[in-house]
Amino acid sequence: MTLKFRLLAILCTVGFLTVNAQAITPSWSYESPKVTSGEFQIRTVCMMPVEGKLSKVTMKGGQGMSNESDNWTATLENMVEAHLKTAGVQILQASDAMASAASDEEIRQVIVQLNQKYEDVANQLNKHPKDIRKSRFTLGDDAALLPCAAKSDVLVFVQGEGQVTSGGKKAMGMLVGGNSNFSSATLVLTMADVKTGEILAFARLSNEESFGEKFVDQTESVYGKALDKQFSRLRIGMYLDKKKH
Amino acid sequence: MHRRVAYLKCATLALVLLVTIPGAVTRAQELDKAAADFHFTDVDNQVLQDSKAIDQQYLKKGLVMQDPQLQAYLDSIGKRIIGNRTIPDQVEFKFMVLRDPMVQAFALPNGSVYVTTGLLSLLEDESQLSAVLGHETAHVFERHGYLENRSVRKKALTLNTLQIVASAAPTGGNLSQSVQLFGAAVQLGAAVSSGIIVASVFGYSREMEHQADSDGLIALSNASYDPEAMARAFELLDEDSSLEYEPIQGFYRDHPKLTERREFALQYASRHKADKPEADDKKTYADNTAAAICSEIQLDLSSRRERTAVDRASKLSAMFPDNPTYKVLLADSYRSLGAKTKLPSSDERSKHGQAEHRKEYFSMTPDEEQKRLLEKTDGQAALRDNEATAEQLYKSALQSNPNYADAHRGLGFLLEMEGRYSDAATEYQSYLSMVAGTSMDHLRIERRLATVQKLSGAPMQSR
Repeated sequence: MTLKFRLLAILCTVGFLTVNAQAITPSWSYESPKVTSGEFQIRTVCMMPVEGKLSKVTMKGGQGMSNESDNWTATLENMVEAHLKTAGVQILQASDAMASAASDEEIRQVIVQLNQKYEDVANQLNKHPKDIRKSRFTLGDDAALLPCAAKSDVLVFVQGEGQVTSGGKKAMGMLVGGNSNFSSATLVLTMADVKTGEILAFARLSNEESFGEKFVDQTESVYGKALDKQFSRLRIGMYLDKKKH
Repeated sequence: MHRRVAYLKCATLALVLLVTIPGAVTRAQELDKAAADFHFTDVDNQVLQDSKAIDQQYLKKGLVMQDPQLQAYLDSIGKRIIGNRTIPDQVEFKFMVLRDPMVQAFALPNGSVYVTTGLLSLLEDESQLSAVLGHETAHVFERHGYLENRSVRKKALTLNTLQIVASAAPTGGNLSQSVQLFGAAVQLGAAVSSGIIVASVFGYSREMEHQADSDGLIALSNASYDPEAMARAFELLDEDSSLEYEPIQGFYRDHPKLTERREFALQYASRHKADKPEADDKKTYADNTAAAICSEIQLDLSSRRERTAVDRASKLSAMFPDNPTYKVLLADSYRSLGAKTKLPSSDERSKHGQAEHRKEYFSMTPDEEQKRLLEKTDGQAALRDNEATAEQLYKSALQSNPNYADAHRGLGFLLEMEGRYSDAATEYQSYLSMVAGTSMDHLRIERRLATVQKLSGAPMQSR
């Protein structure tokens, strides 16, 4: 093989991969002016159970990634909580009975009900996220049923969904085009006023990767900075004080 | 000429039957053989692991109901349906109730059988629930989860290969597009969850479902239940599907299949009457599943399914007219209906009406939907009726038990909604005086009380 041919082959391969490689897609977020103006202060949050769902797409169809999903859920939960703590926010858990007389079963029922309401609101929220600024979306004051509601400002929903595409499937995607030549994940963070249920913030952090799945292995490096930026925009915890001075 | 056409028709029919019947029989025999010869492969082991992990996830997310009476009832029916059949390798039957308004039941290959609160609240008696369990356990006995997973994997591989070939072919553009379109369903299912869940929830192949129905009917007969219960269960599913718009239609709501399956069950029932048909005790069923039905009504009210909530609470309340809890749940359901009618109008049931409903469901918040309904006189009349019914029910519950706190709370909500703030404040105060400071709803009602007290000083606001 001549040197010229080798160089040409390398250039073609690099070009091909560059064309097909996907950059991290921009994330977006919408907040209520009440929060960004500092009128509504977020110092304590109540975390709803985090949901992380991973699935694998291979040449032989879809495969469950139940164990990986479990691990990813824990990673997402730890990461979001760590960043909230860094921002100086106190964290409570929705599943915690605290000082109330509520049984575990009662709390589970309320959590499922709130998740139902959230899913319902999400139908419109996903279509018109800007309307958060007009206070259009609410979960109702059912949010206050949770024992953590007594001592927190907002209810936090964290949902992660990732699709891991196998090497073979990615290669096929590169050959035939379409959108199966990368793995992708989306992290959705929503905050609702714990007293009224009004949705105050909705952020969607997405990324697509042609090589590897950093969102699974290096979750912090993928989402960490974006989360800090988001919390700073929301002026939560210490960010509110920072802007004041 | 007519005779020739008739001959031609008969010949065509004979040809079709000649081709299809042996095919169907062969396929059914193949399924039986596949289940009998079943050996675990690595792929099956992965499915088994996934099933166990799914069980854990449901439990962790608090979706599995943990009510001792309900659990004991479900276990006893499950045990009776399984009878003394040999349990397959790597199967441990467990029967569980999922908090989910979707009318659904499914079994994982490891033997975990889930029935949703949505389905439990729809069924009328024990034999109908047994029919569902008979069908679901049949999927496990026949190893359908594993077999379907293998089949889906093969199909997906073929589709992917076709896609590559299509893209390289001269007519690649169109063919590739059509293959992608066809594969989209498989891919979407795969992306949502693992194949077994998709198949379990949205249905296995036609042959597998038929086999599960057939085995389920036999199990019903063997357990001395009336096999006709399966047909009635299908009927209920069919009737109920017109009550509410559903963003996702599960397998149990698949209309044309449902009619065929009902016919099949009826045919079987006419030939195999149970030896000792049990007197269907609707009241016993309702009593044993009450926890699930109450949970379901709450979930319905949280997911804009107020009509379903009214339907379920009405049934429960009619069965136990003296129970104030069920009366208050019914009142809550009427209050939540707002300007909606109890049953969908004929316009709403039409194709156009359903499309409109779908649009509204995705574009309007519940408040916006109510506002739109109130623009019409029908909506205003419905609101008046629903509010009056709710008030009467709350008052009736309080008449039988004046210290029933939940009735005071519900009445307070209703009066606040009607703009009768001073009366609402009185009801909230009654509620707070009856419940401990540690009750779950204490904080919310205290806040509401403060609001209505503030508002009651101000002039009445129009709605």
